[in-house]
Amino acid sequence: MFNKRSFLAIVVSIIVVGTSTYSFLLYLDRKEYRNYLQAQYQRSLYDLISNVDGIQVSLSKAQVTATPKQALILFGDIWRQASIAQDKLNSLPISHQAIGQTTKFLTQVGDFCYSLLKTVNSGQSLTEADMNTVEKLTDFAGYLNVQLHELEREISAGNIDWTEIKDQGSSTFNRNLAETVDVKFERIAKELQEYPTLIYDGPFAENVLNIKPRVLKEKEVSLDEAKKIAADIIGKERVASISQYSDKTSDKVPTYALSVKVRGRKDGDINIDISKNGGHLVYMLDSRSVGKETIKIKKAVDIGIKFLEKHGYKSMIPTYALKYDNVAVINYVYVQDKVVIYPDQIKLKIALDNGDIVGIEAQHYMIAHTKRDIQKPRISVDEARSNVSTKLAIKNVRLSIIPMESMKEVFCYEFYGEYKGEKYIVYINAMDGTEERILKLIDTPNGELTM
Amino acid sequence: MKRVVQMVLPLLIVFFIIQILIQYNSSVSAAAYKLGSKGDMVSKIETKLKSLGYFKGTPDNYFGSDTKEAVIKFQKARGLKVDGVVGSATLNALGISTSNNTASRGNKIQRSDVSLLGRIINGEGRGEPYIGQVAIGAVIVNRTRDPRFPKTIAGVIYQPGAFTAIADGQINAKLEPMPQKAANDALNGWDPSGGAIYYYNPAKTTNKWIWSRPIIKKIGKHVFCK
Repeated sequence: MFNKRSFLAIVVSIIVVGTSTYSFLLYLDRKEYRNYLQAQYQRSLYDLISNVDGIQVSLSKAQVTATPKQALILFGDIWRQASIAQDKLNSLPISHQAIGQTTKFLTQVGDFCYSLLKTVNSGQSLTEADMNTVEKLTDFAGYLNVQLHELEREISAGNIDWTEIKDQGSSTFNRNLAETVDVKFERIAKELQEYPTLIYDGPFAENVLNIKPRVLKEKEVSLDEAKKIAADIIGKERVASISQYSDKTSDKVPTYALSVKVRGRKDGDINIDISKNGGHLVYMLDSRSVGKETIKIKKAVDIGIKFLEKHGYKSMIPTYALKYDNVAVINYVYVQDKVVIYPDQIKLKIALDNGDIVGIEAQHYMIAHTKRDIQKPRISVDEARSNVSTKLAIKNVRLSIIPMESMKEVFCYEFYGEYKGEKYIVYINAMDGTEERILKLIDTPNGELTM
Repeated sequence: MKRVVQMVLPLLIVFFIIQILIQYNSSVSAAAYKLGSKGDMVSKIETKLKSLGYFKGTPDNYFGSDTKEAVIKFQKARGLKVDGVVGSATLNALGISTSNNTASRGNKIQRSDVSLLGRIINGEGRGEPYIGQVAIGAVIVNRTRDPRFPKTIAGVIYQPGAFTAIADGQINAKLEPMPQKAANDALNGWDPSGGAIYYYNPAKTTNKWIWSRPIIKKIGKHVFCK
């Protein structure tokens, strides 16, 4: 018979054996996951290295190629490889402040080569300055390449385990590992800071990133003036009180960040930002819940137009309306001399339960809006039309100014048409007939084009 | 999701490059037509010039002096380089080789990102005021347009160590309606953060580096900065 003591001993040993077996299985499981994770990260690293290799090789070839055909292939390659390299680098567990600069370098190299690709494709030849830049970028890509190979050697030697790096700060030992990788990339960043400032025609070009909004030249308004402007937009009769909820300010467009208590409402403030320079509306959001829909989109579009006119946004037309959660989001753009100016855009959110304006997004308008000097189109509508695919059944034509990604504005004929039941908009440059852009409208059940 | 993006994005880019090359080849084989050139392309050019009223003769497959005159007239009218040679710039202006510029540069926001953005806002900003949630979404959208960050919403959200909600699994928490609404507003261009690309909770953050960033705004418990 078991006495109490041996019974306890058996129970305890079962528990000990059970838990240790269980924890050993867990350990194996964890190890398996870690290996899997390590493999994923290693794959990203090797992909990164092979793409940076490719960038360096293609950049050096681009310097000695004599035919546009070859140049196109090379710049296309660089653009593709830079994109992949950037993506792979940012899927590694390295702190952002360590890899930010390298990421930027890869983004700009790809973006720059894409702009060269467009230049070559339009039949122009590259300038001396462009070629000098390509040469300098080759050197930097080479430097990055050497550094990455070094990192890869350290990791292959087993000195760095990505999964250890992930457990940040769990022990000083791990932190040291993380730091070796971080320090390495910070050193790379220091070197890369010296790469030439890239001035070209693309969204990530330095000349585009550093554009200062015109509005900053305007006179500053006081907090009280800003409150007045806000009350005016929301409707004086609705405002119970206005306070400033944040006094910090951005360096892009400094604003007064205001919070408005609405009369007869317990919760759900309205937030509104007024620019310090010139006292322009930047955005407004009212987070109140919206009840059942009683207003048709068409009616909402008219409410929006009236609202804009009342607040000094004259000559605006609706271009697109989207509906979700009983709210209509409607885009309005400015029209000057019968030309549709797309950069000067305002979005309104209109509650379809009672027609209140529950959101305004006016930052684009504030930054872009100006009196433009619009020239006469150099080509006729018919000439432009002959550059549009004959497949398209054209329903509507108008003149417009569209923003390119590089913030440049292009004067175009806008052809709206249909092909196989799908809607397309084609933009033909009104000065030289180049096809600038084709948009395909994705029809959603809740979106409608208002043209 | 991330793997899908990683697989699809390169494929899309490769596809696009191939497209460029195909288009380029079709226009490059038509690199330049000048006096004495022959072929279908010449008759195409002549037909086009005729329809625009620059070419008086009957379109044939031979580039004669009358063709050259018409080309020169056309080039003058369009402000192109006047040389009587139909190169790719003139072909473009004639609308014969259309290079199609619908390159998606990777930072075009797809509507399918709404639910992913909604989830991350849900995980990161529950209990924050509504504009605080929109601001979190705006930071993510702003990052896709910043050269120092990945170009896609998914790339930004899943960047290792970027968001605590990924590490602690909060991204999979039950989705409340408000974050989804906030994601919609952020994707539609509302930006209460004032162009911020970082935010943190001063009560919780241990990262010293983030304290040195210039602050734009304080919304709820979060500080938004450049």
